[in-house]
Amino acid sequence: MKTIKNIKPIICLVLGAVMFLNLGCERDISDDAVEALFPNTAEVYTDAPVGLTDEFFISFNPADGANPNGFGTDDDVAFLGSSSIRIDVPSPNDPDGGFIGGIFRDRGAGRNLTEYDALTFWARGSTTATIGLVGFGTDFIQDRFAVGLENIELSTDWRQYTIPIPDASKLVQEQGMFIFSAGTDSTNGFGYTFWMDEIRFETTGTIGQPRPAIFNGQDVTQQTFIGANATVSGLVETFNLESGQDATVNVASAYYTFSSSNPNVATVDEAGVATVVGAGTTVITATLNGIEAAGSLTLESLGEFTPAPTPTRAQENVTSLFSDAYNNVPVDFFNGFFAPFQTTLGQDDISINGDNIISYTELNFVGIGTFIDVPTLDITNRTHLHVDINVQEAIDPGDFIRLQIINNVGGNEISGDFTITGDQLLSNEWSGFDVPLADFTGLNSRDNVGLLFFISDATISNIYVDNVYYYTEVIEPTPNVDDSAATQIELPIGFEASLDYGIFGFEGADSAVEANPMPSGINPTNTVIRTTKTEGAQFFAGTVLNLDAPIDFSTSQRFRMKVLSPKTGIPIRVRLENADNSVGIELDANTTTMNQWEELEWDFSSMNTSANFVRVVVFFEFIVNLPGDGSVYYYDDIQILN
Amino acid sequence: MKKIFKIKGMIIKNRIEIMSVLAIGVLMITLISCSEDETQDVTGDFNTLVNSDEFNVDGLPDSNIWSFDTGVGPLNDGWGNNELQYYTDRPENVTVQDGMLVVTANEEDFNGSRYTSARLKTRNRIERQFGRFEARILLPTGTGLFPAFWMLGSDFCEAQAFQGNNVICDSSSPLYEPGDILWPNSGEIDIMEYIGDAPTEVFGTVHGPGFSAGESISKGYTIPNDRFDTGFHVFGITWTQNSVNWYVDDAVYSTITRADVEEQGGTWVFDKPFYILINLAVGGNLPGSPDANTVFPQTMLVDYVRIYE
Repeated sequence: MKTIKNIKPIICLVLGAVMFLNLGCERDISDDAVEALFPNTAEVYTDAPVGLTDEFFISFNPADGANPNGFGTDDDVAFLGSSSIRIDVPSPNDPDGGFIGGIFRDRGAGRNLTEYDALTFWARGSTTATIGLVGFGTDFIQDRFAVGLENIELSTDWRQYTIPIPDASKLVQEQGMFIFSAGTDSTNGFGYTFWMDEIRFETTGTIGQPRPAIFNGQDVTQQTFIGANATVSGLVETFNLESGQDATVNVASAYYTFSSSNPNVATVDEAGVATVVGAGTTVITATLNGIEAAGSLTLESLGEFTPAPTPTRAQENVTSLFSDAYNNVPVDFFNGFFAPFQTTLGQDDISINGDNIISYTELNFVGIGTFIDVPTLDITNRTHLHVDINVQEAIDPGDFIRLQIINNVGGNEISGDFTITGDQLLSNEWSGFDVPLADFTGLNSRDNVGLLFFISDATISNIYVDNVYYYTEVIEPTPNVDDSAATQIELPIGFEASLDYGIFGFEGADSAVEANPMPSGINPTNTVIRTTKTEGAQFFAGTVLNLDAPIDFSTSQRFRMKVLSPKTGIPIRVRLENADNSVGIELDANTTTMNQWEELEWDFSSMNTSANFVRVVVFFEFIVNLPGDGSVYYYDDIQILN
Repeated sequence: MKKIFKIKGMIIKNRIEIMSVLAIGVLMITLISCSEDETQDVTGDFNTLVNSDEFNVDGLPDSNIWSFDTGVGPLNDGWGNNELQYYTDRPENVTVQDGMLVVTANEEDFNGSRYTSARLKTRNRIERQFGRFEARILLPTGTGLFPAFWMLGSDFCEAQAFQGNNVICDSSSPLYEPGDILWPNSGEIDIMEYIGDAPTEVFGTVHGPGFSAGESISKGYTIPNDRFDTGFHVFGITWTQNSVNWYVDDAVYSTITRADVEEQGGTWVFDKPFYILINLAVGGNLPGSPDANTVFPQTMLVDYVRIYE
């Protein structure tokens, strides 16, 4: 220790001497040596830009809201000399852009900044305000050695700001001389002006106590699998400045050297991206300029990973929140971290061989949000929610995951939920669920969906989730039922026989066998059932069809009908009863179109279908307390799918 | 290029390793006649090494040179300054390692204190009057850290006790030594004091009768383009019958004379033997308490302590 400490200042001196020579005795140095070094010009702006590109200020992209017009110089204001940079920060509603920011780039091939330890500048504001970002190393080309100091406080008097250089030895050819970004977050949207002067790289000698960190100094643990990637984030370094105050800067990954304690489990590249290659545990750590960074990433690789089955439904029938198989809709978050009751951690942070997976840990509840900065979802025409769940722990009796959909978040909220019981889930395996949206009890409309919750009340703590999407079940229409030769009333029924089908409506439904009003599309047959839900009819007004033989559910439980409705997205309830109505089962299916025939399915496979069901009751627009409005509906071709 | 480096290197070496006696160059000698400005030579006429601890033996500090003050002060008041640490002589707080005296301030609950640290002294072992006293030190960092390299008069009363509200020198205490007198009459020379949230500043101070605590005579020094917690620096005084000069590395930054003290109505008590103290305090009246940004443990590394006549 002693030796090293003794040597350090001498090395500095040696460098100092070399620099001195370079400056003072340029002609004595061989051409080779000169070629090896880029200019070490320290100044970025004094009374004019120094060695910057002709455009001087290169704005962030106006397409992203950056306002390129507020940048200029001011010959009436200067900290030193005769001129300063003047920035007029626009209000958020400014038609030319709601914030201002950009870079200054070296006009040459870059500068050698290895002798400096900081970028410093002076600034003052027309008011006290917070500037979102200042820094260097961003050149809009590679941005390799970007360093940023966030949220500096402006004073109305000149104040000097210091941005430490994490490791100047990396900056042998740097083009990114300065970056800033400013908005009006701190001024309630009121625009203001600030001036900057004497921007230069410096050898202050007064910056000490470098403390680099990854994951902002936290020790992070992640379960993972072979083929997964994990990126080291939270790259910051804290320095102590001459004032005795600490300053923490964001540091680009290129300043760090990353390492993995067990390369047989995961390797880590220069950018801090770890790739899992085997089973076991490894710890990813980093150093910066020889100093060990605080924080780490422990990867617990469970070995090979079995992905969830790849969805096969067509994109046009899908509204996907999270799936690599589809174009996903924009999402605010995969974990809202709702304080104070939510414990759930994790979000869409697992990627295994390009397969992205959500990992929730310490689950009690968690929501996927689509209501803040992104459009809400109109899934009126969707029929099902699909989700794949892989429980990462033993499943105990009483465990459950309740799915909850919320419409009109924060407004006239309505919600519906559906509970997946523990016996439907698998431990360390995927279970796929296709939940009819009609089964989300209480979700009477779904035109403005903002949240999908996974709720376990901590009965299940750790799950992987994949392929979360709403879809419209596309019913492959069946051939028309020709029952013209039927002698009794039994499924399949096409209402083509010269039988008295005994149809009757009740509670305000007026129903009869009539001629097909629209013999076209999938239903060109002659006769169908008409039912008119008369004005003021009970919401449970319906139509009864009595059968002479019980429904045969022995090979399939999928009940089909063709329907013709003047409204799309309304529920049609089918209720099946035994002779004395001591057993009844019922399901809803939503129309997905209007004024044309479509075939819908009521899948009774999750219900007990062992009774002798001899009555089919059909309710159109079965919405609680919604009276009839005189709409006329038709249906036909009642059958169990073969 | 090589030549220039060598010359520069030699200068720096002289500065850092402080003069094997032979190394006192012509350059230095020619500067001695300058007085009281910062370019004057730091050595005074004191070039004969009479005592030193180079801390070259690992383990406990040399007991022929050092003993320890432990606890929270004889009056249980944080050594008169409301300091927060409990001083121990455990290796966690004081040890010699790799050629350095390592004084470590830890954050830990210990005997009712939130911090531990150490305070060493040469009392009754090395006590001298006049000469050049210096140490090469790497200082700690952070709000609330308060290290010092300093001296007390050898008649400083350690056997302090309360008698009513008054502090007396308690002759019944085992710490009592005949002739002891109370601070500040016994005198104090602070060769180096430093506050961890001002990493570029140190200060040198004298305390005595009529000029103690808030009325002490003090001057600070701000190091240009450097700081005290990133590298070793030499802190010293040259002390004669009638004056004390303070220096950092090769810069003399303060001179206080008998006349200065008497002008202020004080009594010059710096003409008797003093002994050396090294400590790393945490918190207290001067530095304030550590804050959320203060990192523990913090260490003060002392490469050597040397006394020249």
